[in-house]
Amino acid sequence: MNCKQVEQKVWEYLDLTESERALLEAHLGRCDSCQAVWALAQCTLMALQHLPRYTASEACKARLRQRLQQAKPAPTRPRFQLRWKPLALAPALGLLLAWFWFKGSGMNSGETAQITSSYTSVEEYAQACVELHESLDVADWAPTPAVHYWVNMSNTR
Amino acid sequence: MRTIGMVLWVAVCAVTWGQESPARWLQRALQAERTLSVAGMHVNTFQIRGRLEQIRERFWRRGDSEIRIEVAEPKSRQGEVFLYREGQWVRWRSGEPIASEVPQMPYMASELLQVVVEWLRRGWLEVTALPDESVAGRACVVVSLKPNRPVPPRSPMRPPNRPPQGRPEGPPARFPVHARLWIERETGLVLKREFTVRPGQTWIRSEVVRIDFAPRLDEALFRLPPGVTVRQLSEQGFRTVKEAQQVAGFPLRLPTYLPPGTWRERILVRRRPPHESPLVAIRYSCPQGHFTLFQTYQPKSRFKPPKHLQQTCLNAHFWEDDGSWFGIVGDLPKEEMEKIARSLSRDR
Repeated sequence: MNCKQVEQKVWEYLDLTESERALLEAHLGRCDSCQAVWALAQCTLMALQHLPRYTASEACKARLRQRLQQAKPAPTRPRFQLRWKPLALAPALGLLLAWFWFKGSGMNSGETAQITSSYTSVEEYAQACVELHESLDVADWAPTPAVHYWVNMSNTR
Repeated sequence: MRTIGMVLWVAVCAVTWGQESPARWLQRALQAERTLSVAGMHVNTFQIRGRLEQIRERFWRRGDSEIRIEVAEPKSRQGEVFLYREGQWVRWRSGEPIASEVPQMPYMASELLQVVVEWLRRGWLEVTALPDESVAGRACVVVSLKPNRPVPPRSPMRPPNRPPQGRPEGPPARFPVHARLWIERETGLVLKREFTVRPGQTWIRSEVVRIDFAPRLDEALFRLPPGVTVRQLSEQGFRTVKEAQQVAGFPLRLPTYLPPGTWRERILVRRRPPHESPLVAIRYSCPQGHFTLFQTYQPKSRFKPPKHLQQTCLNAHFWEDDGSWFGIVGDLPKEEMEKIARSLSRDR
């Protein structure tokens, strides 16, 4: 998988097959720029997941239905005057669809959530932190950058 | 009588000349590290929390100015090459078109020796000579180093010849509780070194297993192959919080309180599998020791403070805030660490 393919696939992560995911992750493991793309995707998802979720009240829904029923069909206009509207609406619609898609995937917990918890327990997290701190202590006295590299990258690739 | 006295004096001189002081051996080692061109293989073994790791490497070097290291073991890392020249380490894998900068190590071997020599001069280290040992078939003087207790205020640990790189002039990092150096008798080169950070728990040893004192060093050894481009430092360490922030993917928090004389050593963003939140570690150093702040995003996770940490003499504190898990681990007193932790809180 190359960078261009990763850029396309990064947003389709949930729909990928196991082998495609493995290829994607392998590429992410060795490509900084794609890691940045992935991080950006994570940021976006997290920001979306943090947005408050609003539900329309029953009264509001009723008013909306009433207004839709009362609405008259718009007078037909020459086609050339309407051309700019689809152009302006397309990105907005895309964003809206993306919003619903991400919201949907974010609301399903576990397997389908894009950003999942890294640690199953606080104990596991605490042990990982202590180990990393001690690894850094050791790396300070290492005679080779290979140890630094091990400390920074191990357990991740 | 006078003749006997003369003979005795000559004998004493001969003995003292033959047995140079450990401090003199360290001076010789420093000179050797800076100037000798050698090649060979060494093995780095280190233990962290009971886990033993080993990295076997081939090396070629021209003093401390040009170094090439190739990882031979473990197999998963074969093909990794580290090059050092003009003050910067670069890493790449054989056959790959892109190399990346590697964060500067705290000490090159010569820099470490320079610091040790300086500390000895100031009386901050206790040095003793141990019985000779053989390393890679060469006779070595063994020098043992321990910091004096209580540790006095110390000069900057930064190697004297290196630019500050953002680290302020201040107290140094903590010296290991025990260090041993095996210095080759003939050339003065350090063939083995061992640093114990926490006795029985955390240590690192590097041992030369094969050495060539007259290698043919081709210029190409110390250069990247044509067509390989170098990517700036980013893969594993970050110079600024802003850079790390971009990769972390969640808002990083920084403490508003730090003990006097604290400086930030480095920032790591440890990637987990892509669908998991990364672990961010910000390492600090201060006169009392090191501490590391941790943060990860843990949505929908229940936080219950850990009861105890296994096998550690470190102080640690963990907490949760707004979907993120935080942690601080280090050598500082518990109260001081909790004060730093509180300063990270949004509700302080």
